[in-house]
Amino acid sequence: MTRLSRRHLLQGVGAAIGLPWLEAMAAPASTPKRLIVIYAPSGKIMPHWTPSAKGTGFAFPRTLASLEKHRSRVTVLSGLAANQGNALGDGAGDHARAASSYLTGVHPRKTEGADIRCGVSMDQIAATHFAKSTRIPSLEITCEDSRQVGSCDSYSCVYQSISWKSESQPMAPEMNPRTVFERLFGDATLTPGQRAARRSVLDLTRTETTRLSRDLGTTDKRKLEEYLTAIREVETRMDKAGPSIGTAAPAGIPTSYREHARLLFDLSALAFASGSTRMITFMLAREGGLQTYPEAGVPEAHHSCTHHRGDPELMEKVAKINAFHVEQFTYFLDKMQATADGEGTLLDNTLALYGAAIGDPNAHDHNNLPTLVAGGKLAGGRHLTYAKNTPVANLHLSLLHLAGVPVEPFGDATGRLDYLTGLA
Amino acid sequence: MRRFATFLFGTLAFGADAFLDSVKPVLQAHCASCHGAKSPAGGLAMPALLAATSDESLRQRDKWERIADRIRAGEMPPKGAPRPAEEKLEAIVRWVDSSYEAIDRSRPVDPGRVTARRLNRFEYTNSVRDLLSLDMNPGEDFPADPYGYGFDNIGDVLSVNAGQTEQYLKAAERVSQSAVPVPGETVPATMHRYLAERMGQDRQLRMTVDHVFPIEGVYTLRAAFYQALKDGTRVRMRMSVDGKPAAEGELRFYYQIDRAIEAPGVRVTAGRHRVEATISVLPDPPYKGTPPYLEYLQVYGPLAEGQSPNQRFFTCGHGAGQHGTGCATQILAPLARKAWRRPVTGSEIDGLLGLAAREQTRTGSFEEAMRSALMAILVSPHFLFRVERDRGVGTHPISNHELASRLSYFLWGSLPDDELSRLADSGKLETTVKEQTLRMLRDPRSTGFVDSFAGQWLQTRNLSVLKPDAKLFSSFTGELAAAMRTETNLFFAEILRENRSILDFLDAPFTYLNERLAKHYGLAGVIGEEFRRVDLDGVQRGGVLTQGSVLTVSSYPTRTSPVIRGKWILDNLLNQPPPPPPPDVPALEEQGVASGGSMRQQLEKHRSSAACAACHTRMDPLGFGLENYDAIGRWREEDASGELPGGVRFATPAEMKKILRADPDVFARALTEKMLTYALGRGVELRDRAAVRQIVDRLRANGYRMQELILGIVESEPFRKRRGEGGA
Repeated sequence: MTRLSRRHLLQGVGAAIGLPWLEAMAAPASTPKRLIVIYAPSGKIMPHWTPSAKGTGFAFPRTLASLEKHRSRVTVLSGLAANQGNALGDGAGDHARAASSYLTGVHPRKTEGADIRCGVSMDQIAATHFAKSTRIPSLEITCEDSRQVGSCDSYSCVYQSISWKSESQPMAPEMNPRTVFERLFGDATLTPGQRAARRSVLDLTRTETTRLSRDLGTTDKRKLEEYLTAIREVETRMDKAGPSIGTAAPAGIPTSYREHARLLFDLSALAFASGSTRMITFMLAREGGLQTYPEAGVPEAHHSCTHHRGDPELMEKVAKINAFHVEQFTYFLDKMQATADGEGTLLDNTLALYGAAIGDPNAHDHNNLPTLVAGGKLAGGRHLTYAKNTPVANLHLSLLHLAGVPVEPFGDATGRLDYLTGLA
Repeated sequence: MRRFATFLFGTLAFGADAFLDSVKPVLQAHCASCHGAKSPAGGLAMPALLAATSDESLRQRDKWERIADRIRAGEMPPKGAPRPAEEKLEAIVRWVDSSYEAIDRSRPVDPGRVTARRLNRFEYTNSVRDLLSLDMNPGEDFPADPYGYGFDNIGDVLSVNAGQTEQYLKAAERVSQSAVPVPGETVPATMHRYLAERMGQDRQLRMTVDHVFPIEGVYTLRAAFYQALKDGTRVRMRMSVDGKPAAEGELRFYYQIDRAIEAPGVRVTAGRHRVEATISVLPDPPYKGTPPYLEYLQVYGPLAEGQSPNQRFFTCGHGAGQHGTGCATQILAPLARKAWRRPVTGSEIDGLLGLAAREQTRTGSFEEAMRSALMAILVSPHFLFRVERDRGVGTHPISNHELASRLSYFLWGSLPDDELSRLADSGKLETTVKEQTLRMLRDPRSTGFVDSFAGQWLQTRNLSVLKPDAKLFSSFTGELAAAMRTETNLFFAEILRENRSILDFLDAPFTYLNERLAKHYGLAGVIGEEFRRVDLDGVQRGGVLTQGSVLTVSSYPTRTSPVIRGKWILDNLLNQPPPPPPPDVPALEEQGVASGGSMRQQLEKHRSSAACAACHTRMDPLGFGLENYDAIGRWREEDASGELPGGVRFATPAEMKKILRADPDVFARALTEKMLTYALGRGVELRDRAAVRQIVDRLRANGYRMQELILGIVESEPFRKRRGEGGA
């Protein structure tokens, strides 16, 4: 068996994948079936991001240049804010607050460990709804995990997660493509014997966990109940046979950032195409992280460039990273657009949000966020501007609605966003 | 660096009105203008604190401790603000310290409650290894564990979701396949060829692959290079498994040469191992031109003859096919007892036996049934979580078995061994903690503590993820990074095992080096790959601050940063982390450096604003004191002088370290708090101050010996006791 590279992974996606139960889940043709949130951290050089004109027909600014070919499928949204990422009396810690407030619309409780608290994130709201119709309710991936020792601005590093299953349970993203692959497609390689053994084992484990959690204190009980929920989810997943795929797992984490990001994007497309999941969150790197980008001409750690104070040299570095991130996203759109899905393409049936909860990197502020949506047959080629401090959660609410998730306003959302579907 | 001599605790009594006489008027006059009621600086408002009676005011302990810390550090009042006489400041600090000491003494220590801890991947792997005596790394695919309070073993922060649960299942499956041989089951040999181009390691002189070996057995490894060389050119290739040499070959190039070397029969244990190949061109004859690079690494096996099933698992002593009805109980009961770290109940054993019986019926194989039962032991919440039980609402000692686990996970990162378990069973552990602790420190498993604690406390774990700029620092390789980490670990281990003073961390006349690292430091006379103790007389090194590991992790990828290094010292050696810069003040970085300005000039700006100066007057000079070492820790000629608050000056790194060492209690307290956090798996809170103070007292009375610190922790109330839920 040979290990296949990223370049080989997605060849003939449709042909490579057997879809044992996917066909049954076909959603109404007009509904985008899937959601993906791509989080690009630590701020943008906004003049290079924001189109200079509103409406249609604008020129794609430097950072977005690679997206020009997808013009008709991309809408840029200006003016949205993650108001719950603001200090609100909690002092420093904008990176932790940015990540944890972005999809939750909730101001995280400041703590290094005891009593972690934020809110349920939009992807997990979707995951709960999609759970009935997919094998893996949601996938959380990243190019930079929190294996870096140290504190995260006086917040526990778990606040670096954008995905929150409950107000006390962040979903740690996975960084290793091999692990992601095995999570998506590992099931197919299980023998019936293994499957049966796993079932018997989980059956006993579930009983034990229930019994153990019964007479514990509040916090301990919550921890054991997390495990109980996880066991049940794994059991449910085993009821739905996974697709088999005619390719081998990636070998591990590529040394090149570009290869790493593209491999994870390949796997995302593959996950969607195979019907394995309908909800993905992908952090291109950590908030305030130390990822370096020699391939984009920036050997420095990302975060140290962002406090640029107007220094053109540092701004140039940040701009390079910004555009480099967008290029990887463009690669993903290419792939999604090139893959047939039902009547149209995979991209037609997927809503993609590309954004983050820090706008200006120098100020580390949380308003006028860099935001764009693509796919899902939304009328693209538009630049929409919203009133100052419009909660970005309103966009999340709209996206959930478009994806067919029945949802009440959550976090600090005040209602769905205007103009997203209509022309403006 | 502290402005005052060490305060003697409890020797100075205050009258009832010390607060009114010595504290309130000074703070009112000197602090309240910035720390007023409306938008107080740093969020600290004096008026409310000062209006109350002293007893009421003291309830705001976090605020008073902060005030005392900042005054003690000389940071407040900030430079430029009018300063009261030093003895007046001293009186405030003394009042705070003695008030809280009296309060702490007047009531029992609250040991707190530790949240149930999921094993992190380091603990999981060690526990499986020690449970089954298996040399494998089953937790290697688990996602990184999250950090809280700077450590990855904090119960409140560790959680579990479906993805991880699948990983637990998979790991348990792999472990049980390795541990429980099934008669007649052999693994067919397979060939894996890793192409460098497809591994993101194209055109490299070194190629690394983490290969999963399905079972223990004999494998053939092969590495090949690419690139036509001039006829007669000689290259040397080497292959290793987990750093141990497996093959070495010298090849003389001719066009039709087989450009590969082979390690024909290497015995490898089950699990993932790092296979590495390197190639270098030998200098004779001289070769110029494109260097050769590695093309692929290949693993073939397991070879049929090498597969020897390991019967250790079958503790009933029977061979394949002879297992009677009692065998399952005989095997599973002690295994569950050890894995779950406490006596197992009859119904728990019945659960496992029931599973085994069903599996035996389904598969018709005793061995398969044992595999499933072992899996169940390993994914059981009793194995994956360390749960401690409340025995009433008040403060009470934890059980002997809980104590055994606290000790073993603290000092070994693994489960209790038979001796600890026996003592716990007989209820004698509580009275033998000291002997057991010293025994455990002598045990090789304490290497786990060194690597895990030192790697996190000093942040040297980050060496594996940091990427110094390859152009500027071409000598920084994975090998050098590993050597740096080894140096720090061996240095830490000597202080621990030889019971040296913890102040040696700040400065010590010895270290551990191999040739590679010694050359990096510019030291001659250390030959060979193995590490050895090196005396540092007359050398500009000594203590963790001058070790390559620490100097690298506290630098940017392209250059040093006095700010980061100063912050590193405050965070890790003094445990006085400066608050992050306020949100409305953009961090002033050494931005002018690239465009020609001097870093010192740039950082002077920190002093010009009171908001910055409060922290940076201490942080920046500490960092400047290490400017003689570049971003990967090499010596360089540079101005490393600095002036700390209170006018304390130094000219060299050695002088700065002397200043740090001059105030041993500050470092002792910092290290105590860090280690207590790690030992307990929870954050150290204000209510732990009394326990911390007792440990620091003990250290001071015993020459600051490292083992006194460990003993102080394992004998402390927070380590030995627990408060029941609802208890006060």
